[in-house]
Amino acid sequence: MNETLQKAKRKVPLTKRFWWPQMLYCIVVLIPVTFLYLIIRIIPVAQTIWMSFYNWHLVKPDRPFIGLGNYAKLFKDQLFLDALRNTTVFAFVSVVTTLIVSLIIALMLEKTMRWKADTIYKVLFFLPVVPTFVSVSVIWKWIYDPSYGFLNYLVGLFGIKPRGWLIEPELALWAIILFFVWKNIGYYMILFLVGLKNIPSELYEAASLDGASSWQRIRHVTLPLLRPMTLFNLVMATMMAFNVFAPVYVMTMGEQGAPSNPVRVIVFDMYENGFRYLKMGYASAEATILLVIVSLLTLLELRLVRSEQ
Amino acid sequence: MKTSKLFLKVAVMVFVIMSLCPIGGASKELTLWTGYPEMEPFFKAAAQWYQELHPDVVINVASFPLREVERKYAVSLPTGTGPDIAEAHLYIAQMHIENGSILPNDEEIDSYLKSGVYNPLMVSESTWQDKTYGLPILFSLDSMLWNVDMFHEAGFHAGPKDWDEMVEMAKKLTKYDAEGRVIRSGLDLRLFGAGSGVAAKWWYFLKSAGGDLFEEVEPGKYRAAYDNEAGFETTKLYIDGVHKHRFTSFEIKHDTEAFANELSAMFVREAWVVGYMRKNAPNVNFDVSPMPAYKKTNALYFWTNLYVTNSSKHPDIAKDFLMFVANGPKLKELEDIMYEEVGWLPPRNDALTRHPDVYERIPQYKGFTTVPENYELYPYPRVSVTDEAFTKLAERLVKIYQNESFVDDHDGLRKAIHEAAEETNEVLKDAGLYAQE
Repeated sequence: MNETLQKAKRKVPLTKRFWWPQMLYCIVVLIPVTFLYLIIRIIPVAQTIWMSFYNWHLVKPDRPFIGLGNYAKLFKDQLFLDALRNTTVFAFVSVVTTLIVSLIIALMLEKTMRWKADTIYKVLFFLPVVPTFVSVSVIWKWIYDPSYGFLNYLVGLFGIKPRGWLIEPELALWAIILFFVWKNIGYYMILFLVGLKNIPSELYEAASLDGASSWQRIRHVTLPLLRPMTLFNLVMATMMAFNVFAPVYVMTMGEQGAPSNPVRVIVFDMYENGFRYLKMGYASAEATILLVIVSLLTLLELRLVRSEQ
Repeated sequence: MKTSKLFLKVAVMVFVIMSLCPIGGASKELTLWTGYPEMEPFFKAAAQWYQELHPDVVINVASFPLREVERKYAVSLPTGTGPDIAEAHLYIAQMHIENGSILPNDEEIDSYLKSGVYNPLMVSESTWQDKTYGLPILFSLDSMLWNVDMFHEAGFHAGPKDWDEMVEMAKKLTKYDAEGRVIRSGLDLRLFGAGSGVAAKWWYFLKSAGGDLFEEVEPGKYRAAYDNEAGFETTKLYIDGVHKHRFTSFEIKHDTEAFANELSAMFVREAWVVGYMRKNAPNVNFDVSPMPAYKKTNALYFWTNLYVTNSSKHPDIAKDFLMFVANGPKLKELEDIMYEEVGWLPPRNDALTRHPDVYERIPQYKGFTTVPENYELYPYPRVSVTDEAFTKLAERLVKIYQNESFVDDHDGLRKAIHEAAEETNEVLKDAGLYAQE
């Protein structure tokens, strides 16, 4: 029936299915939004891709076309390769950890804490999401301070020697991942809670009547029905993680900051090349690569989750 | 309907009146940007006193952190949207000078710059292709600051004269806790932190050891000049300091904040620290001595210039303001602000004639002003890729300092320095500034 309706719709031209004034109204209403989107999104992205084919220095007036020269140089640039590796590790660990932890917290708040205090917990978990990344990064930089940091005080209570959390190359990236996960858990927890609220309670009741354990209810009812929200969270978290910049920038700033190579991520490298060394063409090539990576990953995630559905 | 027509008429009238009347009555508005926020009171006072003489001119002063102002110049000056007056160091200004975004001095400023009021180094370095650019606005030698009480406690009464003395003093001045952790650096060396700072501080010692970041092999063409004994010895000074003599550590605080909190006994910096200490740690008793000598007896002569930019709609007023700051009726008052509030020093040779008692009041300034006998002065590298080279080198140095095996593995250390120098050469090649073998 549905298929027949679809076929019939296809046979009628689009223009005949709508009344002309309606069409005109739609077009007129969409023009400002499309125009804005063009100015804010499409043109800058297109211009970035275009600039990546030039030896574009911000100050020098001579900007010769070099084709794929910037891309060729990038794949020989150890700093970029380090940034690519660090970003991948950062994104993978932070996305997986954030989503798992936020889902667990959401499940706990939804299922086990059906009392008034759960609102307090929700607020507490959501609180880190409210302030900006920059301000919280400054606070965490102090928490990680090797001399006066709270973390060293805390681990000292358990007899662990103080560490230079941001200074030691093997710790620095993990320290920033920890901060990033802490900052984002509340956001994804709220989204998971929204998803959980939409699952009909009858399904849980039916599962309970069938003798399903708590784990089985989560495994066979909650997780499958939470898939659309999980997909959304996965895509958003991946994009955020690949675009991470503010915490890395703040935590590497100043004489007490972390050395930037162990925590170098693509956007930081891009920023340094573009706005510190003024090599806009080179930075644009990095931005283009990042765009490709994030787009491919998003497509892959969409496909994976949809194929399971 | 009538109401809306009336509203429309009033709106049009207001618009026309507002368009005809310049806001605030000032007809000429200029902007000045500085990358040294501590200089803000100085520039604001200068702008105010200039306006008293020229009521139709308003000079708006904006200060930004150094790195931020560099980016702002990079984005705004080539597009003609920069400030009328820009304060910058030569290594930042050079590319804008080459690009024509900074105007050359007119005859009056040029002859004033060359009149003998400034150190000859300031004049020669402000010259490019036979034209001069800007006027010096602040200066300082890089010198060793040392905590008098800590030195007396250890039996020392003067700053170190050379590297050997410096290391011996540093060892005696260091304090450890019961677990052997450094709780007071005998000599504070910059060991970490992003940006160019780590390499710039290393470079002061490199210069003493006879090396340099770049050497000019032919006019306008350079090569890294630290893949040698000087580079090795300088880096060894740091590695031994952390891992062998242990007069500083990664865990302890560093730089000015550490000195102000009495967590270090000595460190190398510029005169602005005096202003910082007067504000933040007035009870810390410290003195200043020249940069310890090694293979060479030298010190960095640091200064910045004030430039008139091509973005200016009123370049004549901007140039007049430059002369007002450098040689105007309020010169003494402006210099007072530098001594009392800022910490950076007035760049004119004759500043002391107007402030004969300044060393009695603030004796630390003497160590940042007076060039000791036999001391050779050197400027900051003027090559446009200096910051990139320093920043990339800094990252490598941080990694090198953390490698304890380099205390004995000299070949490994030489290799690490060689690789860093190769990267510096790559930076030069990329900018077309590399001198071929």
